Amino acid sequence: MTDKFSFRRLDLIWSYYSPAIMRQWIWTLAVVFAMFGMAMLARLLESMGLFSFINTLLFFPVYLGPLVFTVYNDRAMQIQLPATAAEKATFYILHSLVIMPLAVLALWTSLNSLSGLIFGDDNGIYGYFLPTVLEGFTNSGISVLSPIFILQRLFMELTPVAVVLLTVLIARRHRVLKGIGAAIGTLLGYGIISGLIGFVVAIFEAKNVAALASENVGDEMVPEIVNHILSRLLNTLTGITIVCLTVTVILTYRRVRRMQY
Amino acid sequence: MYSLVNLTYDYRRGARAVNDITAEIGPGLHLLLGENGAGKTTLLHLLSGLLFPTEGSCAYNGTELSLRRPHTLRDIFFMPDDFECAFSTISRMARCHGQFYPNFNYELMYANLADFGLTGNERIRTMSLGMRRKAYISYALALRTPVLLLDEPANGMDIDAKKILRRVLTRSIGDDSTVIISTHNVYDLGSLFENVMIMHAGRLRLSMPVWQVLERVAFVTSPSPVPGALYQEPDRGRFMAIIPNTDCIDTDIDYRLLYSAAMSPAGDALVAYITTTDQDHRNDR
Repeated sequence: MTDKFSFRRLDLIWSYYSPAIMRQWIWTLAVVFAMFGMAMLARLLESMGLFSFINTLLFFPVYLGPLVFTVYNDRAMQIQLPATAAEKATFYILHSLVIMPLAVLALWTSLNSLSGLIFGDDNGIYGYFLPTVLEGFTNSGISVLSPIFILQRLFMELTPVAVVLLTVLIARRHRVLKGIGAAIGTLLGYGIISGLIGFVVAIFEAKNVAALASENVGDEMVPEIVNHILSRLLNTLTGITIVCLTVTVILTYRRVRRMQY
Repeated sequence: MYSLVNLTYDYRRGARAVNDITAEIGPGLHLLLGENGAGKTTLLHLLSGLLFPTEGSCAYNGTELSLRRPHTLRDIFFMPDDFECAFSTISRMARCHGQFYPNFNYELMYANLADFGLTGNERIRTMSLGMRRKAYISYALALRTPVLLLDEPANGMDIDAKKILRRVLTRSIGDDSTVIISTHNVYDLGSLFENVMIMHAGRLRLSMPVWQVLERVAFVTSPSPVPGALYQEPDRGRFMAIIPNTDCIDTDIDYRLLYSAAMSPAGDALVAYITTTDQDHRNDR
């Protein structure tokens, strides 16, 4: 048995956690189906507010995915598992940041396609609401198809997951509560940081902001200026999110390596 | 083979749980004794790699345990006093966790469980503390790791189960295995132990094979105080004594008496006497 990274041992770690993960998937399936039911209701009621609320809630099974590692109150076993820290950390990160988000996304997309079959493609849940959502973004000057926007959204959704994972690995007691707290705290923190960055960008873009406020700018220039400010804001936010996520992942590895009973 | 060099562990609050232990621990069944807070459990945690030494080193077959190399981890299994199983049944645990350990033996596990009157399919949540301990120990022994560390394995077990535990231990432990059992119930497994370790205030006061202890001292009972005893104490109208074994008397070891003696004010002199080499004894005579 070598200390080199071993996929065989990764498979054994999966085997160790598989009963808990299976239970988690059953719960996640139930939650996503419930969300889908609510989304259908929103579609029938034509309620954009309810739809937005469901979209926010939908991420919670992903944010709270790392809680699966709290099902076992088994720190002694966790440390003693004959695998390297890199293998254990890879498993935790892979499950939380890749497999769970992809599974929820795939399930949600499949259900949405189903709704398209029920209501007709244009009248399925997203077919109905998406134009309104896109219009909102387009009006604010953000291109939802730009790589930077997709990247920012991706990292923004993954950062709370990474923070929850790190929290449940650090916490000794009340790990579930602390995990939930970490998810909410990260989202709130993200909102505050976004506000601060917006403020800082506004200071750096004082000339453009003043120009917009003075109404001396021609109508054709407004979208260009707004787009310029938003791009700067988005780039800064994306950079910060990537740094946060990377740091959290590194800390997770360090935590697994240095974890003590 | 464990090699401990100046092994020290301090808790964050500053309390020193393990204090400058230097020892070699080889194969055999070791009894680890010590008062509450002596550092027994912390020592087991260090020996299993669950804790990192504050100072000194703790190596197994030349590999530092704090490195947590997979080949070292698979050789050692520690069952804590408050061990909790993450699985619904022991059979399930064996399927999901036993694969990590190449020597894991299903037949042995089921044989151990059967001796305790279990099948392995009982729901762990619904089991009593004693039943759980029976199930866990059956499993831990079936892992057949070269090193097995058990913290109070007989806790919660009834009298019959303790007898069965002796049988199960004898069957499951190989000649090359190192098994360290920390327990206050010294009579449960009494005659099985090959080595005795006594800890006091974080220090390893005594660590040696039982036969060597019996070569140095004898454990006797007398209706009156024993002259020349290294240690003695009254017990229900009789005197239990530890005397120098100058006449090569064949006696059984009394762990409780040895422990009481080691903890008494005469403990230092007794330990010094026991650990002095044969040559030194001959020179003294």
